[in-house]
Amino acid sequence: MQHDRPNAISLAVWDVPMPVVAGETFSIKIGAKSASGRALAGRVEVIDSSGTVVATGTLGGAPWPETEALYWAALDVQALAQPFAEYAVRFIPDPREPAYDALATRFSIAITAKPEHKLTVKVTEQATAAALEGVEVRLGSFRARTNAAGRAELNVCEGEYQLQLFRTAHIAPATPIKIEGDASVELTMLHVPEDHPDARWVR
Amino acid sequence: MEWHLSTDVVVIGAGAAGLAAAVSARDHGAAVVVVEENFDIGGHAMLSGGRVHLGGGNALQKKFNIKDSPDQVFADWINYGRGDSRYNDRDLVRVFADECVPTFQFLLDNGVTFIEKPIVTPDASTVPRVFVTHEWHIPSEVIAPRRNRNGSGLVRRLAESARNKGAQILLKHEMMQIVRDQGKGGKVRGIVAQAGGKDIAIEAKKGIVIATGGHTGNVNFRRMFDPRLTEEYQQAGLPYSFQGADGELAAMDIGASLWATGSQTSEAGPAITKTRHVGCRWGYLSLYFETDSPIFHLCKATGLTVTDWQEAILVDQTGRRFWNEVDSSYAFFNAALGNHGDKTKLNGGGPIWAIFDADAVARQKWKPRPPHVDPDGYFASADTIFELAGRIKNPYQKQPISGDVLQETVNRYNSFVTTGADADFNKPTPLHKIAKPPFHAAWATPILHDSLTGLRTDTNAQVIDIRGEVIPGLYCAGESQGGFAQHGLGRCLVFGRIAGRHASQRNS
Repeated sequence: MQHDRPNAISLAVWDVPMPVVAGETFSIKIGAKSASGRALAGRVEVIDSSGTVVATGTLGGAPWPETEALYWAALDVQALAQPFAEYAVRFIPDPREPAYDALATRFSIAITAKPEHKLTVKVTEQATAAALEGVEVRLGSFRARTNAAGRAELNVCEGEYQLQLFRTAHIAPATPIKIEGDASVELTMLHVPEDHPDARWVR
Repeated sequence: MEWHLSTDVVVIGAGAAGLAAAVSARDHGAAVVVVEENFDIGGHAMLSGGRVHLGGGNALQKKFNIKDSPDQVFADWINYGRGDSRYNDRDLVRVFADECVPTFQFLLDNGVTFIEKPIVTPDASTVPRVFVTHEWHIPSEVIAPRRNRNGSGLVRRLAESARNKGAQILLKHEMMQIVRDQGKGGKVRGIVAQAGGKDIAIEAKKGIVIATGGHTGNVNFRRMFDPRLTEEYQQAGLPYSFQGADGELAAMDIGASLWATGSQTSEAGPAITKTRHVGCRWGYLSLYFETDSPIFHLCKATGLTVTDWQEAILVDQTGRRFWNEVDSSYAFFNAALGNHGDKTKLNGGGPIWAIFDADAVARQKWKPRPPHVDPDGYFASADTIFELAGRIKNPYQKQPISGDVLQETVNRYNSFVTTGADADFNKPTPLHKIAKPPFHAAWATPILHDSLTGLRTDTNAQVIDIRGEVIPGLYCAGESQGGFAQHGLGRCLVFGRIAGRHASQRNS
């Protein structure tokens, strides 16, 4: 329990892209926080499933914005060739650091071949034909969000997918799509307004 | 007994049922005193959406060519195929069906105005029967202003009408006891109320109407129907309208019976609901207290409104997920109320916490700080998930959450986002990782709403005792009345009106 670990140094990993391209380098951020809130000095390491350290970085001197004392580093990691990979992350303190209880964490990535094609998705509201901004577009592990014009572009690999759209208070069925080259699709979402306290659209 | 006040009809509670009873009793010539424990009138209805469920062919239904009849209302609400109609007392439903149209007219006659738009409801009704009252026009007199709390228009109009017709409404008067003659068939004589620390005995020469508003805020009472509903589950309507079962208890003290108790756990309708505004103590679906609410000092926070449960995971008091977060069915509630390994408290599921990150805050444009959240036990933030676990402190959180467990929960969920499939609870396409600091934990424990059981009455709203006999002079309407598991204001208004009418016509 944390209360039994007053000297804990815990970790966070963020800005992990999704997906990443096999063999290419991707960037992540790793932060470390001491339970006491003191400034931390040291390194963070990323370790793959074979136990190999695949990336390392030194914590910077300023905490991540809006945090109390999360000291962080940006690291580049090379993606493997498999479709899914999980990495461990650990903190290696500066030798001058006082006694500590460093915790590990982990993160995962989806890995794809290099996308050859561009899919352009335009989303409008079914009843009004108005462009829908902020729609989360999913095509397998490929993702994008629509802009103010209701448009999103995804770099995707060849294959057959279910194209899914997500937006609060809107629904749309998944659309089967076969990617063989650059393509454009126009889709609509049905607005399901809140009309009852039980708010059926609240997911 | 020495009475400090004497009247014909005493109404206990100035909500929808009580005010309808008061107006109705005055219309039939009775002198009326209403006692209300709160500082203002309205009860639960003040905070309601003002959805008045009265069909049968009412004036507005006719205007919209909605074909309906009392027989259709009756048939719908005794439908054995649905949980909200299966267990209803058919004698009560028959009277309700027959009294819908006159009750709707009664509201119009007393100044209540409606938005002219029929509403389809997800309940036993097979045709649109709900029309919504206009919100009261003075924001400072709406307890939850500017949030479509249109019930304020209903109760303010009825209170205005009751006062204009001569009913006396005594605020901050809490009923403590119903006085009944000793012996079989003894009549009720009056009540003892408390105001300013003093007892005030009020004689009711014709009758007493219990309209105290249900029981969901009384932990001991509600657990008669569902032992899982221990103290961590908050009551919708608080901190304004307390549903403390005081009417039911006072009536049971003098022999009254409960009725149709199975309705409370029929798992139909919003008896238990998901928290929609997280990070505050009372986050009922449609109830949002703006900072200028006259009771905001009691609410302490508006909460962060969750419109998509893809933005957070929900964990139990041990830091583990327990169900698919986007589900709002009773399957979700049953999982939330399950025993999650607490050997010291076997009933109740313990607090439920929404866990989310800075990216969710940005996407939802939340402001995770006071007055939007209540850091005094209902919201916590931290730089890491591990640290967040240790900061979750709440009176109902009996043991600290393990940082290791919460970290593992989040790591595992994040792996589901990577793969696109929730291997634990089948949440459809988990969309967002919980990764970017700072991290947040917000109170998201299910909240209780409808009282769907209560005192047994006959079709005149007269309370029945445990031997099946009428308690002379005692009436009940609203959420304290059992036998009709309809959500909302319709049954409250119908039986309130019936109770006031019948009580006023009794011989002194």
